[in-house]
Amino acid sequence: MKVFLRTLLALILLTAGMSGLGHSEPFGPPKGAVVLTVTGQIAAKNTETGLALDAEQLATLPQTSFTTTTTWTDGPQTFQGVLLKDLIAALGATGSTISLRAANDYSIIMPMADVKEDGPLLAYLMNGKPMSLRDKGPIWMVYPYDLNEAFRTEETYSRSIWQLVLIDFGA
Amino acid sequence: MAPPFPPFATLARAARPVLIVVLCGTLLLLGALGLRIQSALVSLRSEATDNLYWNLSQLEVDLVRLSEEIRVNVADPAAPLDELRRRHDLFYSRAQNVIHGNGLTRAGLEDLSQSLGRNLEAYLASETPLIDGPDAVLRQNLPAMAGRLVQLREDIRQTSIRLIERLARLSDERRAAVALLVQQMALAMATTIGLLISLLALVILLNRAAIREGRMTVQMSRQLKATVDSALDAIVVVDDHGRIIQFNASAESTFGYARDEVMGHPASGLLIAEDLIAEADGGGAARLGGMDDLRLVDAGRFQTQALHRTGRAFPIELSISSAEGDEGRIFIAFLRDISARRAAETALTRARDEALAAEKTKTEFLAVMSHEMRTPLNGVIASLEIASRKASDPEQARFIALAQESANLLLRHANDVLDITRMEGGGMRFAAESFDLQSHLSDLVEMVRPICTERGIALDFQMLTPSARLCGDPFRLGQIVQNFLSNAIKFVGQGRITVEAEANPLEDGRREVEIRVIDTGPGIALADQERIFQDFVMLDPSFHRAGGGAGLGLAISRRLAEAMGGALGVESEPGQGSCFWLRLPLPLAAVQAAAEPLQPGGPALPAQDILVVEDNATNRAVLEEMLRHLGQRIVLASDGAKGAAEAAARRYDLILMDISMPVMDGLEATRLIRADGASRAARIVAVTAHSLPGDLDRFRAAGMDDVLVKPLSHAALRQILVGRALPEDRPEAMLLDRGRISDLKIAVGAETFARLAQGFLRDAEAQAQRVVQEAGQPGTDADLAAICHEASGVAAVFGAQKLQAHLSGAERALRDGQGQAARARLIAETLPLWAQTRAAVADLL
Repeated sequence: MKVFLRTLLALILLTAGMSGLGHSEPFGPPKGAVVLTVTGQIAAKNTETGLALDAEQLATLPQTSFTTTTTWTDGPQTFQGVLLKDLIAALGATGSTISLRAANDYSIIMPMADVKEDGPLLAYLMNGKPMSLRDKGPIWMVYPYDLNEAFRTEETYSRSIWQLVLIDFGA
Repeated sequence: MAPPFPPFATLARAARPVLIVVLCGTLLLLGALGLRIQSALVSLRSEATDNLYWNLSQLEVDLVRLSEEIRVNVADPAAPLDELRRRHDLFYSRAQNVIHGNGLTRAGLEDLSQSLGRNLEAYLASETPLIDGPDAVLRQNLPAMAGRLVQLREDIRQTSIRLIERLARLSDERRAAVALLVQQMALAMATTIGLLISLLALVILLNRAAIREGRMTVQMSRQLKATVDSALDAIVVVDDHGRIIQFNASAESTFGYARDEVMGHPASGLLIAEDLIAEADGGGAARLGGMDDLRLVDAGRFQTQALHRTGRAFPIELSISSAEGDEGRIFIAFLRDISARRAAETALTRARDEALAAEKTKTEFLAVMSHEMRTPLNGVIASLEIASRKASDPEQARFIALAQESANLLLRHANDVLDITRMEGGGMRFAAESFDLQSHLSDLVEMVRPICTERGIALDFQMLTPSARLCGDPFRLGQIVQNFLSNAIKFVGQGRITVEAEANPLEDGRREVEIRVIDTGPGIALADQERIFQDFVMLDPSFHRAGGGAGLGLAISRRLAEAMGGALGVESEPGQGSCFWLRLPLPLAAVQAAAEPLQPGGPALPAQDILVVEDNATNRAVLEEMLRHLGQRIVLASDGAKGAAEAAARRYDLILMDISMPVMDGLEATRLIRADGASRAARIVAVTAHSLPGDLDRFRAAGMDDVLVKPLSHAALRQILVGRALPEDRPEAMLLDRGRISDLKIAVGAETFARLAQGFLRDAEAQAQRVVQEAGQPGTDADLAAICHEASGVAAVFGAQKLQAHLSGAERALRDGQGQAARARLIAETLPLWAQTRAAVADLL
C-alpha cells in the first residue's frame, strides 16, 4: 500500500510537471546510439522507414515514473521513462495493433486498445540509472504491477518485454 | 376433540427447525469451501509465473546462442567480438532472472532453483570479467570458456530435468488439492441440495397436514353449526363486546328475529329490554344483556325476562358459558322460552289453591256438622242417663241402655270426625298435666274389664318397669290405649288380652313410655298392617255393623301419637295374634302438692249457688239434674238477657253459660255480668259444643274463666265445681299464644295476618296507653274494669295471652274491690308488658 501511494504520488507529480509540454517539433536524426526504432503508421519519421530515437530524444518526451516490484527483480524498483500512450501521442501513431521486439528476438503483439493511462511505461531508467543490456536495458516496458491486480496477470507479464529495440504500429 | 394429527406430521414439525439449522451449517460450510476455492484460484492466477518452462528453455536458448558465438570466434580469431559480448549480456540478463527473479521459484522448488542460481552466479562471476576484459585476453580464453560453457549446459540440463520432474509432481499435488477442494465442495453442495429437498418435502408434508387439518376444522365447524342450528334450545353467542355473533334457528323462532337482522348487534336492548336491564329484579333480566358478567358464566340455570321482536316480554330460562375464541372471549347462552311452563305452573298453583280451599271448606263443614250433631246428642245422652236412673221397668231400662249405647256410638262418630278435622287444621292441643302412668293405665284397663269378663276374655295388665309420674295429656294417651283395647276386644274372640307398659329413661331425662296391647286374635296379614292406620279403613266391613266405629280409630290414634311426638304400630302374624304398640316420650312431672286427679264419685262437694243459662230446655234439664245430683243449688235462665239480669240481681258463685242462644248470646251476657252487678266477680264457665281452636280465647276475651265442652259428664262438672282450670288455662302463659297465632295465620293467610298484626299493634297500643292513663285518674273501679276488659279483649284476639291475663286479672281485681292494688299493678306493669308484646309481634312480621 505504501508502495502504491508512493507510485501514485510520483505519477501525479510527474504528469503535472510534464503536461502541456507537448512535442510539436519534428524529431531530428539521432545524435547518439539509437535505443529505440519505431516503424509503421506514425506521423513523425526521421528515417525512410520510421523513427530512430536516441536516449536524449527519449528524454524530451513526457516523462513518467513509478515504483513497483516485479516478478523478475528483488524488492521495489523505481522506473522512469515514457508512457506508451505518450509516445503514441507524440508520434501521432495510429493503427490497431502494436508489435514490439526485443534484442533477444523476443516479440509480442498487443492491441492498441490495451494501452492505458497508467501503463505500460517504456522505462529507460531503473532507480535513476540507465539500464544496460545485462539489466534488461536499454528499454524495459513495465507496468505498475503493484497498483492494480489487473497488472499481475500472465498476459501482462508476457507483455513486459525487456531489451526492447523496435516498435511497429500496424493495421 | 383435537384433530388426529398423523404422527409423521408431528415429527416433521419437530424436524423442521433441526433441518434448517443443519442446512444453515452446510451453507456456511459451502461458503467457506467457496472462499478456499476462490483463494486457490486467485493464487493460481496471480502467481508470479513467468512460465517456468519458458524461462528454462529461454535460458538454454540464450546459452546455445552464446556457445555458438564462442564457437564462431574460436573458429575465426579475426572475427569481431561484439556479437559474443551482446550474447553474453543477453544470457547475463536471462541468468539474473533466475538468480534474483522468482520466475523459477515455486514452493518445493527452492533448493533446485537456488542451486541453479548459484551455478549461474559462479559462471557469470568467472566469465564476465573475461568478456569485459581486453579482446586479446578474451580470444585467448575462448577455448576454455567453450569448455566451461559445455559443462554449464550439462549442469543446467540436469537441473532443468529435475526441476521439471519436481514441478510435474508439485502440479499433480496442487491439482489433487484443488480437486479435493472441488470434491468437498461438490459433497457439501450435494448435502445442501439433499437438505433443501428434504426441507421442501417437509414443507409439502406440513402443507398437506395443514390442508387436512383445515378440512377437518371446516368439517367440524360445519357439524357444530348443524348441531347449533338444529338445537331445540335457542343458542345466542355474543362476543366480548356483547354483540351477537351466532343466532340459531331456535333463537329465530324464540325471539322472532331473522338471523341476519341481529348479527353484529348488541344483545342488550334487542333481546332484553333496556328498562328491564335497569330494573332491580335481583339483576335477573340484566343477565342476558350482560352476558359477559363473569359471575353469571357457568353459574347454572337461571330465569329472567326476554324481549320478543313484537315487544312482548316473555320468561326464559338460560345458562351461560364462555370460551376463548380467536378474537377474545365469547359467551354462549342456551335459552328456552318457558312461557308454557310458567302457565302450567300457574294453573297447577291455582288448582292446588282451589283444592286447598275446598279442603278448608270441607273441614269447616265437618266442624259445623259435628257441632250441630253434638248439641242435640248432648241432650239425648243426658236425658237417657237421667231416664235410665229413673227407669224401674227392666224392659224399659234395657231399651234405654240400648239407646244410650247407640247415642254414645253416634257421639263417638261425631267426636272422631271432629278430632280428624281438628288435627287436619293443626288445631289439636295437648294438655300438659301430671299423671301416674301405672294408675292411669290401670284405670283404663279396669274400665274394660267388665265387658271382657262378660265375653270371656282374659285381661292382664303388667307394668314392666317402675311406674313414673309424667307430664302429658292422659286423656289423649287414654284415647289411644282405649282404641287399642276396643279393637282387641272386637277381634280376640274368647282369647287373652295383655297390656304391658314400660317407662324407660331417655338420655334427655324424659321417659319413653311404651304401651303394648297384645291379643291372641286372628292377627293381621302383613299387607294390611299399614292400611289399617289409614282413614276409614276396615278390614272386615261386615264387622263395622257388628262392632261399630267408622274405621277412624287407628287413624286418629296414629295422628294423636305423632302429634304428641310419639309413634305407634302393629306387629302381627295371621293366626298368631297382634301386638299394637305405642311409644311416647314424656317428661317427668314436676312435684305438685295439689291437683290430685279427681275421681268420679269422689267426696261430696260444698254446695254453691249456680246459675245455668241455657236456651235448650233439654240441656237445661240435664244440667239441672246433674248438678242437683252433685248437691248444688241451681237457678235456671233460658237466654242470655235473662241470665244477665238474674246474675245482676243476685250474687252467684258460678255461672254456666251456653254460648249460642237467641236474644242474647253467652258472650254478650258474660260481658254484661262482668260489667256490673252482684255476680260480676263470679266464675263464668262457657258450656258449648264449640271446641274449635280459638274459641277459648274468644270466651276468655268476653270475660269467661273456663269452658265446659258438651257433652257434659259428671267428671267434667266436678272439675268445674272445684274450680279447677282446664288444661288450656295455663297461668304465666307465654307472651304470645303461638298456637293461636298460627291458627290465625292459616285461617286468614299471611297477607291478612300481617294487616291484622299491624291493626293489633295500633289498637293495643292505644288500649294500653288508655288503661294506664285511666288507672291514674280518679274514676270508678267499674269504669276502669270495663276499659281493662276491652283492652284484654283486644289482646286476646291476637293471642297476646300474657297481656290479656294481666288485664283480665286486673279487671277481676277491680270488680272484687281490690281497686288500689289493681291500679298500682296496671300502672307499673302494663306498659313494660305491652313493650315486650309489641316486640314479639313485630318479630312475627
